[in-house]
Amino acid sequence: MATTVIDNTYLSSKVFYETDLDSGPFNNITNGAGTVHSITILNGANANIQYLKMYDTAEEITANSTEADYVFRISASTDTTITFGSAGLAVVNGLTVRLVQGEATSSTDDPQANLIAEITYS
Amino acid sequence: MADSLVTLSGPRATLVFKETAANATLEQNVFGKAGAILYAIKVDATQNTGEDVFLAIYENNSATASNLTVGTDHPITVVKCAAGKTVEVLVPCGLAMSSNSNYFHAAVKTSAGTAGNTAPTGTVAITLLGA
Repeated sequence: MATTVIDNTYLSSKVFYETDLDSGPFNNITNGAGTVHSITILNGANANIQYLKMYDTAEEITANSTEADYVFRISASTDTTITFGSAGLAVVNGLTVRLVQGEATSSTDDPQANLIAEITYS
Repeated sequence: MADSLVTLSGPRATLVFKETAANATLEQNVFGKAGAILYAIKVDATQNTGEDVFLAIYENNSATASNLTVGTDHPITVVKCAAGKTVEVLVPCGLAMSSNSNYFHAAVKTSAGTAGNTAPTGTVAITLLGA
């Protein structure tokens, strides 16, 4: 697991880049309110469906019980990019993300491989 | 409530499903076929200012969703739309089903994730593009 970011005063756009997004939540990666522009999950080399769970909260979530505000199925063997149109996806409190094998709220099974996640926001 | 399914020619997503007043009652088999792929979602809650709403999309092996229960079964995709707002989600590479014999169903409710089967107090329109 390695997280790197582009988050500085030279650009209004920011990037969250994680080499192993899994069930362990990354809390409030936007550091409060923001606008998410795109999310990419590199699942092309993994022959299994994944589920991206996202929460609009600055508080810590409980991975196996907090209901997600957003759930996106990530197709098997597919590098998936999700975008949110010209307006972007408004985040009010802060964006928390995690990636699991199952759609169930209780799923805490990590992906079968280390999957890269790229999130652009402002 | 009025729904429609339009077939486009040429573009990546050839099917457009629209429901002008979606609620917690399932919109069954939204693309009218098994094995569809979902490419884009729009939730328009500009006429629903009372509460945030959540579009839940389900995959199920019944075209009539006879064995699917909103609030109990887990959706494969959930999109939150804030009260009085609109949200668009684009998935250019597509959101595929786990089985080509399954069908997409959709509902709009007022709770996040799996839980809840309460309909919005106002009018919420949804548009789904698929193939």
